[in-house]
Amino acid sequence: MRSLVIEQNLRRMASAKLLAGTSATASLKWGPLSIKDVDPPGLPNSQWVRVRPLLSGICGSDLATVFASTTRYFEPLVSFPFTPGHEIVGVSLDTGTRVVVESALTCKARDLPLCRFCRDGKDELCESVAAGNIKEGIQIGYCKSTGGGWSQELVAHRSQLWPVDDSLSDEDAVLVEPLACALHSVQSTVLHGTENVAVVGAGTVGLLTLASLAYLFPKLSISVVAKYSSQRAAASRLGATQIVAEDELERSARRLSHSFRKGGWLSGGYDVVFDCVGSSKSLSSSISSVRPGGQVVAVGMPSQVDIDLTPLWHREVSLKGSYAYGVEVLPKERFTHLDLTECLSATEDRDGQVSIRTFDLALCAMKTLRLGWMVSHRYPLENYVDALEKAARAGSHDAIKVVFDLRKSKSVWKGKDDL
Amino acid sequence: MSKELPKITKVLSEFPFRRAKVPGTLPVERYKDPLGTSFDTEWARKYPIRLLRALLLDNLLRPATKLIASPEVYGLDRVNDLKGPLIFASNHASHLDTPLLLCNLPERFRHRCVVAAGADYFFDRRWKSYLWSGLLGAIPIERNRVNRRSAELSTELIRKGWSLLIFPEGGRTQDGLGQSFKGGVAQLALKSGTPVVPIYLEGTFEILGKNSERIRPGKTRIVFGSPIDPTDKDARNLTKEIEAAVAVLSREVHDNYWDAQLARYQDEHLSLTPKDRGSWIAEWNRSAQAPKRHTSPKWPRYFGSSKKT
Amino acid sequence: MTSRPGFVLEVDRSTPPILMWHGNSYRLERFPKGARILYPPEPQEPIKDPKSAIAQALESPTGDSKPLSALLHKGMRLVIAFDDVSLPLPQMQAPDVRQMVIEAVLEKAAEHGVDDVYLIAALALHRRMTEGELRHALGARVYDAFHPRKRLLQHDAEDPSNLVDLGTTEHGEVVEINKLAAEADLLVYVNINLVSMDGGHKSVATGLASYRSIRHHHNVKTMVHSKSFMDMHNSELHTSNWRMGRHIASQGVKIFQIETTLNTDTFPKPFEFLSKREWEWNLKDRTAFIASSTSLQASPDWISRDIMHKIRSPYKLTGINAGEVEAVHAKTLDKVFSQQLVNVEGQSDILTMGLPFVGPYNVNSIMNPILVYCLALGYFFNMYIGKPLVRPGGVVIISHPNKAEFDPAFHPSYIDFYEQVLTETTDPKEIEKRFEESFANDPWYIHLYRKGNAYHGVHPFYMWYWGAHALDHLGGVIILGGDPKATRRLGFQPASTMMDAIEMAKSVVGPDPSITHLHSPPLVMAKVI
Repeated sequence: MRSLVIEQNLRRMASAKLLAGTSATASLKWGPLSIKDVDPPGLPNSQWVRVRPLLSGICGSDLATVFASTTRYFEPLVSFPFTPGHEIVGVSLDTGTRVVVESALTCKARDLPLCRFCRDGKDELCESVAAGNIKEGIQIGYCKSTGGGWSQELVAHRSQLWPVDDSLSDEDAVLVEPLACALHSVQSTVLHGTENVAVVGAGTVGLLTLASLAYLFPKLSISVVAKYSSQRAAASRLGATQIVAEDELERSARRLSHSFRKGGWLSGGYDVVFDCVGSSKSLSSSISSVRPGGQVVAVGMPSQVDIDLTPLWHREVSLKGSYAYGVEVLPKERFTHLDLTECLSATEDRDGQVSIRTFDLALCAMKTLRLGWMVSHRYPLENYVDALEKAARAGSHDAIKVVFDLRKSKSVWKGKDDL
Repeated sequence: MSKELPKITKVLSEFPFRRAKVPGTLPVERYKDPLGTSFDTEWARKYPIRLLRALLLDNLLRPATKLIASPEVYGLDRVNDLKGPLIFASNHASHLDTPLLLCNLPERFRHRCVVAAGADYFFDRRWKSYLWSGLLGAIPIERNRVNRRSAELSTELIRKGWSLLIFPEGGRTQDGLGQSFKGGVAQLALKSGTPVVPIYLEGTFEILGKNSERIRPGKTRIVFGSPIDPTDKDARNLTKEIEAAVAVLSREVHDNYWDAQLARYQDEHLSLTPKDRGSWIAEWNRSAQAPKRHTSPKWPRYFGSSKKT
Repeated sequence: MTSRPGFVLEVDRSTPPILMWHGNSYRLERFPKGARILYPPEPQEPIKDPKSAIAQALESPTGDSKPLSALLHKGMRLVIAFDDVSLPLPQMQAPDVRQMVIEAVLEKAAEHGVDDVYLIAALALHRRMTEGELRHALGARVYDAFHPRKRLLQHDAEDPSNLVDLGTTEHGEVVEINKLAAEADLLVYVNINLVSMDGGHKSVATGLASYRSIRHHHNVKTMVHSKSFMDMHNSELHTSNWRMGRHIASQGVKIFQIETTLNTDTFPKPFEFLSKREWEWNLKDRTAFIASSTSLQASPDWISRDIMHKIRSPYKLTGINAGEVEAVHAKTLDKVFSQQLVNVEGQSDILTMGLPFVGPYNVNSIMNPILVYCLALGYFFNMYIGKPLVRPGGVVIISHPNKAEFDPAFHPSYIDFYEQVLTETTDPKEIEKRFEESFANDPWYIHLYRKGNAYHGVHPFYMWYWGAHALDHLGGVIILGGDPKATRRLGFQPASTMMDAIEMAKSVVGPDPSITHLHSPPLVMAKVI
């Protein structure tokens, strides 16, 4: 079967990193990613099923891997060679139904007794990234044993599969995974619902965070930093109260909070800033435009940054990361506007707290939000260079979400397991 | 490049590289260049220009006029001892008159002297205005009517110590005979209280008359008269007196001093203007009195011409 | 030499290209055949001896008022208020008229033994003047005498302890003005009437008022009904100010108004050609034009701005009247109109204008897009009596680079207005409704207005309201040579050449449009018949 594969080749990774700045095409050509004919991954045990992807998204963290722009932090947490792709809507070859894949490889998927985090529903913090009968890998798409979305077949644990309602299109479904991340980042932050918040960046992550904020807390005042006109349009469609340009964030923070400003110091600011870019610039401006004692949430994957933390220290700002998803606990009385009846995993305890898996919540939310329109570009696997280049420059090229479309690739594949 | 060239020249030939045309549709009075009597000659009296003019006058014009006109100067003793600004009034026959007179004025007045020049003739173009005011220290004067501005300018200059050279006939003579004097000079003299020195100039008509096409070098005579004090005189009489004084000077060189003085008191209408103007006799008489020409130019020689005569 | 009147020139084939201002620079622009160019009148002859004219005006007042010397007595408190840095434009060559008049008033006061004297800059909601500007306006003598004693003050519209509520007019308008001025035994107001909008009751009722009071006439409704605000008899703005002024007088505030008029001698020696007619440019003028325009265009913005803001106009006093406000102002207006008014026949489809480097609110500062809007649609558009120069539904073409550059010290609220208000809407009514309150009460703006040199937080809104009548009247606005992004932010269209702009305008006004160009500065006001 055809598959995009990343190999551990230091020379290629170095050249990808070197060339990324000048030419994306050259960077891809000389980089660690290549298209190959490989055998489909085997099933680790009977709890696993084979999944044929229909659409598979390109995520920011994928791009960072492909262009080798990440630090080497992740290297020990993955197993080479692996097939990227963790935003997957596919067909379960077991049941033949459409599923989305909750791609995190936690204790449950690894067939291990639940660790203390997984027991608490904080799957995102799971201790078992490198244990069990499958190889290292934080998610499907980083693990040698499972394969990944950017191929014609992968394997997934039964617990990772969520059936997709027929009312959702493939495009809607492929965005469920990133939406779950966004919902988790919002839900893991303490919000009362009437604050001033800002979302820095209006790429897929930014827009989905915005959508989650607007979905969970309709009364928030949400300012979105958008660079390009298509992003501005998308942001206003998703319910941003105010859209500002990159360098306007601190001024809008000052005015919305009616506070004083002296140089870079602000007496007030946004209550929470969601940084969905992760660059030095965005993080510094987030830290200086949040109110003293406020919270900056790094939603987009930051890399090595160079920021002045003096304002963080002086204004007692907390900087918090947000990764993946797990179980969300929603006080019922504050979320009366949400219809959670169709959620499979929702359980209500005695205090009126509803516990619900993030993925489940995302699936429910997607029925309301219908974000499929955000999938702006589809490419076949063979055109991966174009696809990744497009995704790398999404904003300036009027793209939001770029996906690999594997729905029509059947005839191309001449493997022995042809369906 | 060859294509570019006309473009650049076109650009350079248009506004603002050239002066813009005055719109013909203007509902208001059309704008006029400050020429004629409104031309400002102040710049020509600035020190550096004066110095330049003095150098030119002494080193170029003086030898040149000497060569062309070989002037004989009489009566300098009458003016030599005078002080302060004077009005020099002379008869007028040629463009040569001004440089010739300027070069032969006493040193004291020569470099602090302005020349009254017809505004309509010498100041009708920009380049002419600059040339004449710069080269000769000309100031524009309205010839035929009274112009307050030009009169004010001359009186002011006299007050500042500038002498004035003026031709009261108001233009060059057509036929070499004198013309009657206009009243302007008398009014100026009265207004500023400056004495008028009459000058009789002879011979320039032959060299470069009004209708001559080229210069024929010859001899000239310049006669300075005694200054006439304008105090307590009226303009009309003063004009007559000046005119008569010039005529007396002409007698003086043609006859002798005493006959001239006699005529001054006996002839009621003493004037250069002949009574019988138009008849050939007047011109005949005049040409007889004129200083003699060179018989033939020194160069180019007409080789062998002497044989024929 | 008498000054020649202004006139309307009809462009034909031989008409030279016409000078057009473009921010810190200028260029020559060719107009299509048949276009009309409105040329301003030449500067009037100034008063030969301004000192004695001032003395005479103070002693033989106009209207129902005693001479100044009869109003002064020992033991009284005298407050002298004067117009701020927004007048005249550009700043005039020293000595400033205010200095001459104030010195004359002070000498009179000293003669009568008046000890207790305060000077107040009538800022309204404008920025505080800097020391340099005060020294220029008042002269070093006055400044050095009064500033160290803390008797040279700047009006603070946000200082509740120094404001006094004088009640409301019959229309319910709150009248709240400077306490020191209101409670003085005599308030002398020294005004410069550069345009016909200034002066009259507006001097005190606006210049010394608080936000609470000013908002009653500085709003969209009033401005839309001020047609134009340069013509006080058709200006709702003035009607309201007059009501307030009369109310102030009825509350016992004693005002001795001194109004001065200047001629339009705007440009000093090397820039003289800017106020000359193109066909009268001599070699020197043309050389100066070519040299200055090319170098201004070639140099970076901050350099050309610096050069232009160094211009000090050789304005000269043409008239001075003192005494009772309304009588004085009537005389002043006559004088202003006699200098600036030109008769124009009929409206046209398109009005073009080149904006210069300075407007009332960016003295020594940057002309930002909001000020561009205000200068064009507020001031230049309103320079008419009767009907606007452009027909209803017509188009205004503005020439200005219109870059999104702001002065953070003088115009902090403008930046936020540009970024946070104009991105939402450009409709004055909606802006007023949704945003004015929060900007006006923003503590930071108030702080900067009171302690720094910033315009009040609400000031950019007033700029926007100033153009409300024009926005209401026009079918479109095009900024020639304007930065596309900033121009669209204002709700206008950018164009790169005059021909393009006219073509764009045609889509609004129809084919074969009539064009009028406002050849200003120097200031010119059209009486459209």
